[in-house]
Amino acid sequence: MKATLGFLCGLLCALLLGNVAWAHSSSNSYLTLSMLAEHLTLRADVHLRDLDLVFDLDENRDGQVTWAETQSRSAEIMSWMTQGIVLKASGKSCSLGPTDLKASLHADGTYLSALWTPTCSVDPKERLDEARLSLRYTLIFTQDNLHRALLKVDFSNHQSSALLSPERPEVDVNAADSHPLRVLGRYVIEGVWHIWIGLDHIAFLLSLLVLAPLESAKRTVVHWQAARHLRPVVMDVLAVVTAFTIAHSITLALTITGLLTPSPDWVEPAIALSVVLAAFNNLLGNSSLKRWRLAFIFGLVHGFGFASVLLDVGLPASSLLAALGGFNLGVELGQLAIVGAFLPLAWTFRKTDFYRWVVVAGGSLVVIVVGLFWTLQRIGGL
Amino acid sequence: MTSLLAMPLAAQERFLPASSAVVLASSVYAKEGRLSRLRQLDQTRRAQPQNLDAVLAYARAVFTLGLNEGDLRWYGSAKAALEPWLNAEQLPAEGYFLRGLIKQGFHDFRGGLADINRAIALDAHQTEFWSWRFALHLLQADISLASEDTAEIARLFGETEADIYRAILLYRTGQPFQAVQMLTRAIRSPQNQDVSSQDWLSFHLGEAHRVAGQTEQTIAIWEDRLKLNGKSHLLRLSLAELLNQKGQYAKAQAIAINQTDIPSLTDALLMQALLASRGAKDGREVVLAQQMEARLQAQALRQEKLIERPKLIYQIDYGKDLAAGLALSIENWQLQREPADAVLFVKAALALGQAQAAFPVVDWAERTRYTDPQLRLLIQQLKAHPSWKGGRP
Repeated sequence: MKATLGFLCGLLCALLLGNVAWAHSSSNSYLTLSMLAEHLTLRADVHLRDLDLVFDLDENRDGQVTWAETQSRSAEIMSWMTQGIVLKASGKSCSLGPTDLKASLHADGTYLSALWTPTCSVDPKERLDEARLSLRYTLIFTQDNLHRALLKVDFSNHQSSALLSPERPEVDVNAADSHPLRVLGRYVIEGVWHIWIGLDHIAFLLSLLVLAPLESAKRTVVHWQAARHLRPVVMDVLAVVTAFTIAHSITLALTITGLLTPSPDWVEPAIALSVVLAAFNNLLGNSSLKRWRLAFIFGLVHGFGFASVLLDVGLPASSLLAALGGFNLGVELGQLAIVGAFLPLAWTFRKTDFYRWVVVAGGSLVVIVVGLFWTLQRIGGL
Repeated sequence: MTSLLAMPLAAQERFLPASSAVVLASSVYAKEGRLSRLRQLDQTRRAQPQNLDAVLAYARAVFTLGLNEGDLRWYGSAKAALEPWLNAEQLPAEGYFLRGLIKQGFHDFRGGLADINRAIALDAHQTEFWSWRFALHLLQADISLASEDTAEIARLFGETEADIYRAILLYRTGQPFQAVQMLTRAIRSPQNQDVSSQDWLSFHLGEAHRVAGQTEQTIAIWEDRLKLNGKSHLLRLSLAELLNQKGQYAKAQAIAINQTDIPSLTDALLMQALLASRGAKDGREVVLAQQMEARLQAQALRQEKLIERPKLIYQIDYGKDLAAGLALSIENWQLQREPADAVLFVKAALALGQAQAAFPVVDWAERTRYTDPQLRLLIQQLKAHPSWKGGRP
């Protein structure tokens, strides 16, 4: 039956993978950094099961761990904890001080609860809860790659939470960071950055703009004449950008607020497909669709993509509007920068064959090919 | 600092236990039958963390524990041990195999299959490599590839071995009665009398009976097996689920909790205990629901994309948030197509009057020909629903 045992394990997975793999929560530690009567306190609750994994606490080998067995290893445990949890204020390590070890009951069992009253040296003019604090946590990661520490910061002027993982074991804690203006600024940068590194969004936008400096005619697009007046060109560009903005703002807000939860499995391929269609539309000549309409329809899809990025970055509960507004503003600024760079060049070269044949026709063909590649890649066809 | 949208958990009271108080009912190193083995493997690995053989032996031991106990934390230990080799291009067959198992454990089925295929390319004569490949193909409802695996197993390891795979394929493709006969023969075979084999074969025989509509036989088989080996998480959970389905709430709760303190219960068993408590109206529902809520809240704070079945059950069967349950079901179905997920998906679609949303389940059932009494009834209701149009949504 040796061979069959392997087979049976496999079948278990086939039929009840979910039940097996998801039957128990992953391992978490709970950290709380708070300020009580001008004193900083740090509490770390670690599951006794995880502690047993590290220290092999069952001294009498009866299969159970008692509080006495835990206490008998308290010196080692305290040393381990203070090495794995490092608190800094303005770049200097704080002394955690004596460890008060107790227990606490959580939904999944008994935890060891360590409490410290750290001492940090900060500038005398600076309040401790306004200083730049950082917390580094590295306990258990080498024993359990799925272990996470959930940090809760509870200051009178700042409440937040954070997740510490093997990939990101350190966080900065700064009350000033939660000010709405700071949040707005941070998310504006996120928005701009996302547009600039998002080749699919740039390709979509440029595909919609490339015909703007030409006058539509009942001929193939390479024979369209250059626009004579700047004003209709600018209006056309504004219509496209505005339609795209309104559309993606709608779906971004609906997704962030949880009213819509589209699957990334179709959102990402749909964004790639929108790039293909926008470029293909350029080659249709006079029978092409109004570009602002395309911008609106596919802008709705791009909004789902923006929301996915924003959710990955994380949103502060206390400054949700500032974050959402900031990200949207950043996306707009990023777009305007692209338009600002593209439009003067397009206006300058609009009368040349190079613009019509290479930029418009050739560029659209290249975008179609790349967009098709992205589409296939995102549906798992490549 | 990254802040999260979800509210943090409330702090728990600290207390000083009595010296004699048991703070961990079951030490991780002191489970039955592995008193010294896991310790030894762990010590060897810690002494030589770059020794791949020592690491693979430890990783295999803890992965198997995760599988048997239904405890994801052991998968985390296996992954941590293999961390230096997670992206390695040159591994022995065992290395690729274990890495593949870890990947699939976290729903990277494509990556997991790729590694298992590499393991097979290096050593095709390991039954367990083939069995996992078969398992993953079945999980993704790729019946044709699973059948090919069965044929290959027959060629490499003989018809007797392959017959058990065939039985599984039969009850997963609408032919449970023949599967019952084949599994009954396998369970009686002198070759299959060790504890693990009896556990797994009892599970599958019970499943084949359940799919055939013979739930009394299923309950009897699983109850008998649990009396002999009460540690099987798989059988305990399957039995608790079935008893809840049949409305035998008091029995379901006794099976789910089974002299274990509630915090030590796995999420899946806690969920079944909660459903049983609600059904039996025994007054424990509030406490159990709080426990479940706290665990799911902690899981949400981890910002992971793993879809957990206890969460689906909480949202759909327990009715906490049907709309979120349906959205999660749609997402989950793209990853894996299991009968239990199918049932939850259809229930959510029906409860919300969005029958058409569950079309992928109907499509899957027609393609694989899988059916069981519960799903058959639900699909009938789905097709009779005014919002059902047939065809893709």
